[in-house]
Amino acid sequence: MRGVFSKVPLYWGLAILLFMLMFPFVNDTRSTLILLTQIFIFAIFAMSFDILLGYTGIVSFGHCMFFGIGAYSTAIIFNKLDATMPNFLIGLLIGIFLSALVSYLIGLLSLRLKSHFYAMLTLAVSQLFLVLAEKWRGLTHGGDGFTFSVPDIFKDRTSFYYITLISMAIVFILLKLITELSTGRVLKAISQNEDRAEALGYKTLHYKLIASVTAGVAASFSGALYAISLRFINTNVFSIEVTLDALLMTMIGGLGTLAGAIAGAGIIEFLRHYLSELAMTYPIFERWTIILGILYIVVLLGFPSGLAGVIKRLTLRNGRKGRKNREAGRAA
Amino acid sequence: MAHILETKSLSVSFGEHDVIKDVNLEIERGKLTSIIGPNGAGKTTLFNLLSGQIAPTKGEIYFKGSNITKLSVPLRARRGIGRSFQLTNIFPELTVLENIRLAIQSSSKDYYSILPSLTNMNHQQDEAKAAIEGCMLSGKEEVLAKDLAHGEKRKLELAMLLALKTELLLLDEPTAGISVEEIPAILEVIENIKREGMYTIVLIEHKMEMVMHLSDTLVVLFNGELLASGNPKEIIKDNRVQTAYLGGLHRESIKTG
Repeated sequence: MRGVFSKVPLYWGLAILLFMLMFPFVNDTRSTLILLTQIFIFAIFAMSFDILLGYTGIVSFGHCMFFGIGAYSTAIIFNKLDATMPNFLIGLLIGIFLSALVSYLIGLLSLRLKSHFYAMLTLAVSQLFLVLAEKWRGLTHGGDGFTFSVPDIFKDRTSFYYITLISMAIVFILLKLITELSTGRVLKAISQNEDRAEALGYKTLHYKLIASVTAGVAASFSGALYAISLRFINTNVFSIEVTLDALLMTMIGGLGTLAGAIAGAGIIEFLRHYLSELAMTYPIFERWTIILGILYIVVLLGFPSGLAGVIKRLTLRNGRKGRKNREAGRAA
Repeated sequence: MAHILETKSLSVSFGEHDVIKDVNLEIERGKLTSIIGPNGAGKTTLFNLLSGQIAPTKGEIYFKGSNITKLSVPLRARRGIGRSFQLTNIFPELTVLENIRLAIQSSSKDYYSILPSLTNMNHQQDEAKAAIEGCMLSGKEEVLAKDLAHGEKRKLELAMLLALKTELLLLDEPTAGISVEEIPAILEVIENIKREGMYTIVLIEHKMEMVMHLSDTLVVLFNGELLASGNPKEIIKDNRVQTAYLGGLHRESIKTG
């Protein structure tokens, strides 16, 4: 057990959490709090994607659908019923239930095959949801979307900041426990050598389903928070860009490291915010997505294991240097 | 029941090509059976059929008296069929300790505990450390499996197989690609397993000295057919075996064996 937790830089995590908890006392400008809230929400989404791609090696091109299902469930409930906390829970649970069901069914249909069928099927089904959201106007108001009101506790930027921060911390801890303990080990094993895992007696389909459903549920949760943060929803939540965001965030942060997904979400959201602000002075930054594209290419070519890989390499080198120095000291 | 594993007219063909033809194999419990045959005779295919990697076109497989022909790979592993692969088959990006722990987690039937108990995990950890010592890999616990030397990888694979605690071990050329100096170590591990008497071992091996030294029973496979099976000393004197496989090439080593 010590072995499991020594791998998690627990103190670092606590220090960062503490800092983020104190942050609103230091700086409570509206735009910063909104930016950080967005980062926390997308961090949850990126972590859910990481469970699939980073830990289990499953490629999904339609992860946005779970984000969208969560977002729409919450938004529709708030729109049709009152903006109260019990209704929030109902919306959240509906989103989670639907996501779990859809991810389970897609997984059951496609994960048996050791190939890219999951990616294809998720892409197709997510497009199906996009069409559904556009056409079911009575419920979704089509492509224009709709605004809705939320409970007061979500309206206050500071309290919503805390809600998203704590949600992210809880999701992180839960996913960390799952991935570091028994089941997570098998997931990692499957991503590296599925046949061997089977020969050891693991029914790999079950594990891939666990990963698929876990990722779907977490993504749905982040989608619900996202809709609340905007108090507005339209079909954009089902667009392929949302999936690509998750991919970009996990790649930049480092696949297979949940903390990396959080860092990646921070970097991308931060860049998006400041680059679009820069566009006011330098028109070139109107095209800030190009910069993200370049960043993506640089990361893929230069740092395939992302930010986490870079940090790991640096600490390893320092560790080695430290050991060498100690040894040299002893020799002298 | 004397036979732990039996096949009844087991056949498989890939397209037009019959790879295994009507093989009736009987493996005696607690014994070491070696399967020999020239390259392409279907030895590894036979293993794949036994462990479930491929499905037969015809015939049945019985393990401990029950028909397992339709069972999937993980279910066969859970029933007690463990195998090693000709090409080293481990989890490259996991450490030695994690590799072994995965086998132990399976053998202790800890499949789906999302939040396992601490005592359980500690227990598995200790067991894994013992297994690492047993296969002479001490001090390498935290090394990534891909960074091991080839011989060490083979040892790791054997250790994983043993940690799985299956009654039947299918060893597919455990000495493939191993340098001459390292062979005695592997041989010793297999001898130790055999001496414990808890396991039934089926071995695919090309090194005739090793086969003659270890085997209780010898099975000769040729062009997918079971040519002969029985006492090793008698089998190798069999004329059909001589012409089919050994072709006189190995006569020297047989005499010494």
